[in-house]
Formats: sequence, structure tokens, C-alpha cells
Amino acid sequence: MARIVLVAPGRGSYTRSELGYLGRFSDHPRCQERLDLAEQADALRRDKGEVSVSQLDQAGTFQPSRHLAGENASALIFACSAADAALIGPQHEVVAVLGNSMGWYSALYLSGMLSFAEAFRLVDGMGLHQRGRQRGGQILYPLVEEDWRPQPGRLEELIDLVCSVCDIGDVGKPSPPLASALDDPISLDSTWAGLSIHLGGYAVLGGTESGLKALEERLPTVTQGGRDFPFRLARHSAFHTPLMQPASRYALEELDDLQWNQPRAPAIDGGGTQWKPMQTLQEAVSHYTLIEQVLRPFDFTTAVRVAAREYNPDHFVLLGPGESLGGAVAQVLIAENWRGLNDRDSFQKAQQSDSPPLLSFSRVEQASLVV
Amino acid sequence: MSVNRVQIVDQNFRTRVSQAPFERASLRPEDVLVRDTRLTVAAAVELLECQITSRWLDYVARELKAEGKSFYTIGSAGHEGNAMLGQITRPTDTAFLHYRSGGFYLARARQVAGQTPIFDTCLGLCASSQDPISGGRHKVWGSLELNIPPQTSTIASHLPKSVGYAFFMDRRRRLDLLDAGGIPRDAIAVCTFGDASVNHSAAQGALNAAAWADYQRLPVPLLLVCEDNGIGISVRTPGEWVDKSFRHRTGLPYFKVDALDIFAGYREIQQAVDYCRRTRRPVFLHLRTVRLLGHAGTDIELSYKKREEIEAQEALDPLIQTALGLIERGILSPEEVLKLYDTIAEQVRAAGREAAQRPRHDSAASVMSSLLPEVPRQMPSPVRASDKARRQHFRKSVPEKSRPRHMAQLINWGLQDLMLSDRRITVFGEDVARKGGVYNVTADLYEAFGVGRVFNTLLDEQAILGLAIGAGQLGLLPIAEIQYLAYLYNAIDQLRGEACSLQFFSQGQFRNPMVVRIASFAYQKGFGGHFHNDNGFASLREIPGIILLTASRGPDAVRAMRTAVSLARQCGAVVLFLEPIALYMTKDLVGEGDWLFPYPPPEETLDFGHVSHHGPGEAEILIIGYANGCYLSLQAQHDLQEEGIDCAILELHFLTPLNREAIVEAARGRQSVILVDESRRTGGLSEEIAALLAEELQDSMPHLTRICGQDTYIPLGTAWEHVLPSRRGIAEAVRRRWEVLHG
Repeated sequence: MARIVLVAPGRGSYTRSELGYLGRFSDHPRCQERLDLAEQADALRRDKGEVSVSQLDQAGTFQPSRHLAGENASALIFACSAADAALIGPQHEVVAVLGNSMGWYSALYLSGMLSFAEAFRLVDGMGLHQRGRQRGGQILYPLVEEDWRPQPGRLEELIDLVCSVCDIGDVGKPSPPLASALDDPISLDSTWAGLSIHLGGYAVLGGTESGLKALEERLPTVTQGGRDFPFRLARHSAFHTPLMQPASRYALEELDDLQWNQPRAPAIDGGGTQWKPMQTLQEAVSHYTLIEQVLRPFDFTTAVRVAAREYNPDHFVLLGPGESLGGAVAQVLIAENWRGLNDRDSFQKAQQSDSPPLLSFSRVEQASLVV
Repeated sequence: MSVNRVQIVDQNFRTRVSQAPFERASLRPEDVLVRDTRLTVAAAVELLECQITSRWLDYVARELKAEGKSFYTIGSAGHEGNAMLGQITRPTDTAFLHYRSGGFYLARARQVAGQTPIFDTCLGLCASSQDPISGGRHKVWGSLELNIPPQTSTIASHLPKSVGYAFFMDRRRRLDLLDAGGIPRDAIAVCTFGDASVNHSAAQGALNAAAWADYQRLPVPLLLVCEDNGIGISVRTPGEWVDKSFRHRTGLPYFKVDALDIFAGYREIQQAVDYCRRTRRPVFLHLRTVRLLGHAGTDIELSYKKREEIEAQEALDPLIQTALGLIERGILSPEEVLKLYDTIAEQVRAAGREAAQRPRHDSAASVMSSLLPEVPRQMPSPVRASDKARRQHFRKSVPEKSRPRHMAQLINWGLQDLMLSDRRITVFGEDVARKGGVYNVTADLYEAFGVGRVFNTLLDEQAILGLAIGAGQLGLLPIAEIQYLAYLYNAIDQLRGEACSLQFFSQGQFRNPMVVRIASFAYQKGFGGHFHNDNGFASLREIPGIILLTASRGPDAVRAMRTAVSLARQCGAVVLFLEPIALYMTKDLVGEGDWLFPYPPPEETLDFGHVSHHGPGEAEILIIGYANGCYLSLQAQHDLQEEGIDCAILELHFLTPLNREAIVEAARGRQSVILVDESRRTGGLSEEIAALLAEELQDSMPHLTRICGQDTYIPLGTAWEHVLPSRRGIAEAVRRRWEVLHG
């Protein structure tokens, strides 16, 4: 029996190599549960006249315009994460769940706060709403050294720089007042940028086109892992910023009737709050999900930090698709000095041990420890 | 210990819970369980979780100690009802918590996102340098985000500062600094303590000060929470002692609550909190608790309590009461409660295992790194008021253009300038307002700056220092006055145990900057006796992190005061300025009016560690002195000059920390060093300087003479002359050395 924390990935996790993901683990005894979930998702998509997640997953070729688009990617990623979770052995104890960005919606399902159907309605609704409505964009910028050791103060410096490019006063701050974000949306014509996600060793910055351009001009180019930063994330809106006001408005109008349950396991949100069994107020979690996390930065770092420090699980289990989020999880654990981890090498060494701190469903040998 | 009470208390919980009858009710988390309260189903389950977690932190502390991995076993068992307070008060209600506050701390942490109280507590238990609040320097309840300054007091010495803090929360209104310290204006302060420590004079004094203020309708929005478990280590609190002592206390509204049962106690606690917040009055909240598992892990209760008594207390376990209350109401089944209990056990044990692996301090430098932040050698010019504001204030003629004056007048002007330049500065003490202090040093301040910034306190030095700590912690800049050095000593723990330790035990996250002016030393020509002529300050010098300043000349006194304010402002320092009473009004050194000096321009300060040199630098004989000793040495120097005997004088302004380099360099190459130390021979400054010179100069050590105050209290009348350094004595000592050197 292992004490595990489930981590659900966000947008961008379903890439070319993930095609056919839902078909994995076909020889697992509970594979049918996995397929049932995929089927449920397909049915819900078909009802809306959308391409099914299975069709997307089983496509012969990966088409960025199709697979990365919000209206498809969200549903696909959610279905993959849920399908993976279905395989986890009942002998293991899920001590907490969390997710990155839209992974929060997956976490709501994993914790039991939303049924599969309701979570899918949320995920897919928010995803479909993005069709043709990309608002601003996101860029990725590193906060750690090449070896993943943290650089203290880097995030604060970055935020100062981000604020300096904005032509709108206070809203450039990391936590703009929700009321102003909801009622007084930022024009896409303005020059605006802000923190979008604190993603372990990276900051995801969101902004209007001219805001991001200004940032790209002013941020020194950093090359890490063969990639140059700042790095623009394709087809992403400026999620978790006040620019997403229309999305929040939509959510309030269309998803205010979500049927919430009490969580079975604590869910840690993108501010580090733990939503716990019999202690979760529907109004509060709805407000957080439909407004706060849509308009305010998502602090994945803090979510992982809280999980590590308060739950000290045997493993963090990264659900599929993809495993790029594993780096962010590892970077947080390194910053926390968790189990003595202090850089990329020590993490990779720990991963080779009998009890890796991070198990990724994308690696069968790791997943086998919990399925 | 033959009987492990942990096992018994644990088993009691499991047995009582598992035997409880249960029928599921259809309640939602939002449903209110106790009418007219905020105790919903969700809040009650949260309380149970906090209480269980607190209990498991106690158990795990003992498990880790048994493995040699933790160092602290004083627990919260039996006091977990204080979780109600943690839930009902707000995170902006600054809380000064005693050591049985696990429930409070965990419940408050639930109100602020991103907190990790379980692991943080385990790091504290294991004395890890990664403990986020004290850095492993003590196991405390504390957090910057939760507005819980760390307390280490076991003797209620945190009460005076909590009174001071609460007093200044509303005083900010009069200072036009409403949100100073980042604390909203409707916040209250909370201070918890036990029934045994309520007897301590520190507690009694603080409670009196709060009531004294309230009696005059001065707001002190402070919830004074006495968690009464009926015993202090092994000494029982007499039945109803706390109740009878405080139920009818003037100026201190009293609430009594059963904290063993959240369903019984929640409403009253909420009422007490709301009353305190609404009326801004100090409230004495008397909580009934029990103490389980003894005073600490090493305490064998059976050596002083009967088994039946222990078992009777254990039967009242608040965790059982909360759990049974939730089961009885159909909210949680016994199985769900026990599952929660075991899940939390695993969670806390896992945190303990991880925390035990974390590093501890490995050097003195690491331990001491948070005593006081790096102090800049060269003090920046103080913030000064505009020329226009100064002209208006000083009625056209600024003091630096006035004729030379004595020290008291110069300090007075210095204070006025400082208050003009920084509206956070407040001045308070005994008789400092209308009277202007017993030596007129604070004259005119009250009239110029008003009662909001300049006010008289009650006759209680402990309360004065508590006010200073509270003001400093709230972001104000207190300049407190202690009327005489001897008066300080009934209150010194407020400096030693509290003010100077705050940065140390919080890694500088919390600060209580302050300047304390103290009329000090002797030489009042026979008047006043020992209480007004105290010359002992050894017990101040040993306080880690403290800064002691003094001066002999008025301008240096003003510069020193500005430096003190800068150190407090920039480094959060606790600075004591020992003002030599006897020199306040002194006008003459050796001739008429030659000890009167002009006011130093507002930008002048003393650099950190500053020393002054008087007389021929190359002289073979060096006198080292300060304050009156320096004054007398200058007189002696004058007398000796007439005889053709040269000597140099090194005047110290920083009595702690000493400028060791400057002292050694001044002494290097001299034939003779004479230490004039007007404090006492034993424990006085001269001991450290002599040892310093011996250590640093070794074989080239000059001949050393000490002229010190005798190891006695200062007598009334003319006999003082026999026990203190004198002009004649200093001259004689120099003369003797001169003769040895020159035949």
C-alpha cells in the first residue's frame, strides 16, 4: 500500500507522442473501466456534435490545429487523466489530488467533488468556449538554473518586469481584485501582461499580444534543455489572468448549476487551499473554480508544495497524457529539499531507486507501482 | 514510565467513538449546528480535524523524541478546544500564543491558503534550521502569514506586549496611521496563557495595565484567554481561583466558556470575540480545559496525582466530545471518525519522518544569524523634517542657531526634531507628557505633538516596555522613557526574554524596533539614594542583540539618539540610550559654561561603534571611559595638564556592542591604560575591556589600571564619594603611572 498524491496535467500535455493514449494498458484487469470512461466522454461529445475524444486519440496523424485547440484538447486530456486514475489499485491510498491549470477540473473529478459527467461538462464547456476566442497568449520563462536548482528572488524580479511593461496600473499585479477583473475587463488592444501560472521552475506569463511582445523584447534570452526562452505556447490564451473575463462570465452563466459533491480525498487548488471531505462549501468551491482560478494566477508550485509538506506521500503520481509536468513537480520538490532532493541529478537518481518520488503514467514501469 | 498514558488516551478515543450509536442525518456542510453562531457542519468537522491533528502532533513529538529525533514534548492535549478561537478569530487578529495552542494554530492556518502547519510544526519539533518561523531556534507556534508572532514565554511575559500591541492598534487612529503594520482597523489581538501563569506578576501587571486603560475608556481590543486546566506542572490551581479573581475585575469584562465541548462553548467564544471587536475593550476569556499526558513528555503525573484523578481528566478528552457530538448529530459515523483519525496519524507521522531528516544548525554563526541584521557601519543621515516645518515648529529660530545649552535641552530639541521628521514616533513613559519628564527632557512635546503621540503611562515599567514592544511590532517607532535605571530591573525580562529575542526566534520576520531612554548612572551629589543613582547595567549588556548607547556631551547625546532611531528603523533594533542624569543640567567642566554646547545640525549622527578621542593622541597613558567617567576624566586631564602630565582619553558611546577594534587600536603602543568604569567592579564594562586588551595585545599589553564603582548600592548623602570614580582618583591614578614611567 502506498500513500499517493495524484497530479493531473493541464493544456499542452497531449502531444504527438500521445496519440493512442486511451488504448494503453489494454492488458490491465481494469482496462474496461478505462474504456468505459472514454466511451462516456465520447457520448457526451457526440451529443454536442463534436468530434469524440476517441476519434481524436485514434487519429492517424497528430494535427496541432486539431489536437492542441482548446475545444478538443481539454476534453481529450481530461479523459486520459480520468482513464489513468481508473487503473489505480484500491490498496493504495490517495491522500490528496491536485492539477495544473485545467488539471484542476480533473482534480475535481479525481477528488469526487464532481462526477465524471459534471466534470466533463465543466472541462468541455470551458474548452469549447475557447473556440475562435483565443484571448492573448502565454509565454514560458525559466526560474531555475539548468540543473533545476532554484534561483531565489527570480520570480519577484520577473513580476516587477512584467508589471513594468503594462500600460494599465494595478491590474498588472499578481492578484488583481476580482471585482475589477470581472466588471472591468482588460482590452486586448492594451499592452498588458501578468503572471499566469507559477509552474515549478517556470513562470507562465499571460498577456495581450502587445504585452507579450514587449516582454519578449525585454526578457533576456535563456537557453535551457536545448530550448530558447521566452517560449511562446501555441494556441494558448492568457489563462488565469483578468483577460479571461469572458470565460468566467460564460462559466457563471452556463456552469453555475454544476452538481457538487463532497470530496472523498482532499483536493489542493491553485492557491494551495485544501478542499476537504465534509468541509467543502459548494458556493465557495464553485466561486473558486468559475471565477477565481480563471482570473487569477494559478499557483501550481504552491499546490505541489502543500502536497509534499503536508502529505509527504510515498509517490506523486502524474496522470497522463504526457509527462512534461513531471519536471515542474520535480522542480518544486527540489526547491523544497524534499527527501534530500537538491538538483536535477539527485532527482533523477531518486527516480532510479526502488521508490521513485514521482511516478508517471507515461512510463509503464513507473505506473506499474500503483496500478 | 510504567504506564503509557498516550496509549490509554488513544485507546479511550477509539473505544468511546466506536461504541457510539449512529444514525445518518441529512445535513449539508452549510447547515448551522448551533443557533446564532457560525458553527456549521463544515466548521465542526474542520474543528475535529484540527483537534485530531493537534493531538497527533503531540503523539508524534513523543515518538520522535523516543527515537532521538525531536526535542520538544510539551503538547496541547486537552486544550484542543482552542481550535474554536483559531477558527472564530481572523488571520489579521494578531495572536500571541502559549505552548498548548496546537488547535488554534491549525484552525487559523485553515483560513489562509497555501499553509503547511503540520510539516512546519514537525520541523520545529525536530529543531530543523528549515523551520519556517524560528529556524530551529525553539519550538514555537508562529507564522508571519498567520499573524502569530512566536512566543517562548513560559511565565506569561508575553502578556505585557500583547497589551501594548492592542493599545497601539487603536492608538493608530490618533496617529493617522490607521493601517500601520498591515493590520486592519477592526482587528483585535489575542493572547493565550495558562491558569498557573496568570499568577505571575508579569501577567498580573499586564492585566492591570489593560484594565487601567479600559477604566479610562482607552481602547485595548485584546482577548486575554486563560486556558484553565487546573494545574501548573504539579501545583494545583485552587478551585475557582481564576473565576473568583477575574469575574468582577474592573475594566476587564469576563466570559467563562467550557472549551471541552465545542457545541457548548462555541457561542460564548464567538460572543467574547465579537464583544472585544465591537467594543474595543479588553476581555478576559476563561476557558475550561484539561491537561492530558502530563506537563511534558518527561513529566510523570502519577508522582503527584492519583490515578483516578488522571483518569477523570482523560474521560473529559475534548477530542472525544467533538467526535461524539458529530456522531450524535448524524454527521460522521464512528467508522468515518476513526478513518479520519488514522489518516491524520499517518499524515503526521509521514511529516515527522521527513522533518527529522532536515538539517539543523551546524555553527554558532548559523544560530546567531538572526540576532540582529547586519548593521551599516556608517549610519545614513536621519530623515529630517523640511526647513519650513522646522522653522514653523521651532518658531522661526531653529535650535542649531541658538546659544549653547546643556544636555537636557539639547536632547529635548533632538526629540522634537525626530518627532517632526517621522510621525510614527511616539514618546511615552511616567510623567513625560505635561510635566515634561522629571528632568524636563520631554518638555513641550505633549503640547507640540498631542496626547496621541506623547502620553503618560501608569507607574509600571513592565507596561511601558510592553507598550514599546507592541508599538514597534505594529510598525510604529516608540521612544519609551524609563524614569531611572533602577526602575528598569523589575521589568527587564520584557527586554531580555521578549523584545531582544523576537528577531532571533522569528529569523527577523517579526521585529519590535524601539528606543528606550533611561535616566541613568549616579553622581547626583548625595540626592536620591540608590534608586535614583543606579550605576549597574551588566544585566543589560549580556542580552543578545541589544544595543546600549550613552554620551557625556549634549551634542553626542543628540547624535546618539538619532543613531538609535535609525538603528531601530532600519534594523528593527532594540536600542537603549543610557542618559547620564548628572550631566543633564551640567554647565561647567573646568570653567564657567564650558560644558554647554550648540545643537548639532539635524543630519549629524554617530556611526555604528563610534568612539571619541580627547587629548593628545600620542600620549603614553590612555584613559578609556564613558558618560560621567569621561566627564571626570576630562577634568582630570585638565588638572594634569597643568602639572605637565599628558594623557589621552577614549570615550565610548556604544557600551554594547563594544567597538573592539577601536579600543584595541587606541590602546596599542601605549604604556598604560586606565579604565574608568562608573558601573561596578564586578560585571562592569572594565572586565570585558581588560580581557579584550589582554587577548588581543598579549605580550605588548600596556599596564592596566581599573577605576571602578565599588560592588555596592549607592548610598544616600555624601558617602557616595567613597564608592564611585572621582576626578581626584582618576588624576591620581594617571599621576602614579606617569611617575612609574618617568621616575
